[in-house]
Amino acid sequence: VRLLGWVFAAVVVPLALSEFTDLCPWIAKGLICRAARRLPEQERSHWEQVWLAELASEPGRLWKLLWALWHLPLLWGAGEMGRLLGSPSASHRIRARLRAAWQKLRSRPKGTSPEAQEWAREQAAARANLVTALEEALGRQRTSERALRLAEADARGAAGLVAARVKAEQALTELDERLADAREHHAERSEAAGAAANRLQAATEAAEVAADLDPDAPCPTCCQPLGEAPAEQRRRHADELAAAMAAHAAAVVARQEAVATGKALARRRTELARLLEQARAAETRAAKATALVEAAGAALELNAAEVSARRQALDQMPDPTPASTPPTSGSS
Amino acid sequence: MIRFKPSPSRREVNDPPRITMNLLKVLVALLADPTTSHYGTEIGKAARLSGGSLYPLLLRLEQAGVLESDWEQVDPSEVGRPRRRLYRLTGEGAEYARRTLQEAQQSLTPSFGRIPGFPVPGGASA
Repeated sequence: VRLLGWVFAAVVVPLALSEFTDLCPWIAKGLICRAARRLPEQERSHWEQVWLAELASEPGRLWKLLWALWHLPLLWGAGEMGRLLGSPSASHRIRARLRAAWQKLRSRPKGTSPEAQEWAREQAAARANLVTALEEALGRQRTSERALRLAEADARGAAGLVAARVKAEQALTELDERLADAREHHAERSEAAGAAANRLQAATEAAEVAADLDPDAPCPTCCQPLGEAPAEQRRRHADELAAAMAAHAAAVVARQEAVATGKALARRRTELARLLEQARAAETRAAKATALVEAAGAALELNAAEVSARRQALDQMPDPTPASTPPTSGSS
Repeated sequence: MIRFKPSPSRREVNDPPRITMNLLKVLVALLADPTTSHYGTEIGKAARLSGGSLYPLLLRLEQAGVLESDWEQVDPSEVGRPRRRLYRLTGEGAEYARRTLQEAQQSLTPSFGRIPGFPVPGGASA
C-alpha cells in the first residue's frame, strides 16, 4: 500500500497535473469561443480575436485558465453585448416564435370534418415519405455522378499510360542490347589485357636474359666472341619491353573504361525497370478506373430511373390539404 | 504612438450609458492616464471588474463616443502574440468622464462613501 501510495504521489499526480496545465489554454479558448457565439455572427470573429489576444498576453498556462475563469461571466455579458450589437433579445425571439405559431394556427382551414382531416394527415405523411425517398434518391444520384466524374478523370490518363509503358519497354530492350554489347566489349578488353600482360612478361624475361650476356663470351655456334651482338640484342629487347608496357597500360585503361560503361548501363537499367514497373501499376489502375466508369454509369442510370419514378409518384399524390375531400370514404 | 482614425459619427458623447458604480470605476481607471491606450484586461484589473461587466461597458462607452479603440500597432511575429485591442478616452470622453465623476462624487451620500480611486474635490486621493 505504501508503495502504491508512493507511485501515486510520484508518478500519477505529477502526470495528472502536467496534463491539466496542458489543457488549461484549450479550456480558456473554449470558454472564449463559447462567449463569442452569443454575439451576432458579423461581430463574432472580431470579439473572439480581441479576447484571444488578451488571453495570449497572459503568462503561463494555468494563469490563462484563471484569466478565463475570472472572465467567466463574459458568457452572460456577451448576451448583453449581443443586444447592444443588434441581435434580438431572448424575449424578442420567444415573442416572434409565439407570433409565428399563432399565425400558423389561425391559418388552418376551419369547418373540415374529422375524417377529412385524418385523410389529409395520412396523405401528408405519405407525401412526406415520398419526399424523403426522393431526396435520398437524389442524394444517391449525386453520389453516382461524383463517382462517375472521378472514374472518368482516372480513366482519361489510361491512353497516355499505355504509351508510357510501351516506351519504357522499348527503352529497356534497347538498353539490354547495349548492355550485352558492353559485356562483349568488356570480355574483348579483358582478353586483350591478358595478352598484353603475357607479352610484357615475355619481354621482361627476354630483357633480363639479354642483360646477362657478356660481349667477350664465345658464341655457342661459332665459338667467336659475341662482340656488339649482346648490345644490339639488349636494345631490341628494351624497345620490345617498352612497347609491351605501353600496350599493357592501354589495355588496362580500355578494360577499366569498359567496366565503368557496363556499370553505368546496369544502373540505368535498374532505374528503367523501376519506371516500367510503375507504368504497369498505373496502367492496371487505369484499367480498373475504366471498369469503374462503366459501373458508375450504370448506377447513374438506375438512380435516374428511381428519381424519375419517385417524382412521378409524388406528382400523382392527391392534394393533402384538409379542405380537399378524400376520393372515397376510408381510403388513405 | 498609437494613432486612432477619426470617426465623425462618434465625435460627441451621445446617449451615455446609465451611471453605475462599474461605469465610474472604469472611468476612474481610464482617467488615471487619459492619453494612454489600455487593453481590456488592464482596464479590468485597474477597475477590479471581470469580463462579464467590463466588455459590455466598454462597448457601450465606445458606442456613446466616450472611448475609441484600435488594434495595437505591433508586428505579431515580433512580439510573439496577437495584436490587442486598445481603448482610449476621446477628447469629449475625457471631459464627460471628469464631469460625470465629479457629479457622482458630489451626489453620493456620506454613508455610501466615495468612488474608489477618484480624488475627493479639494482633498487627498483614495
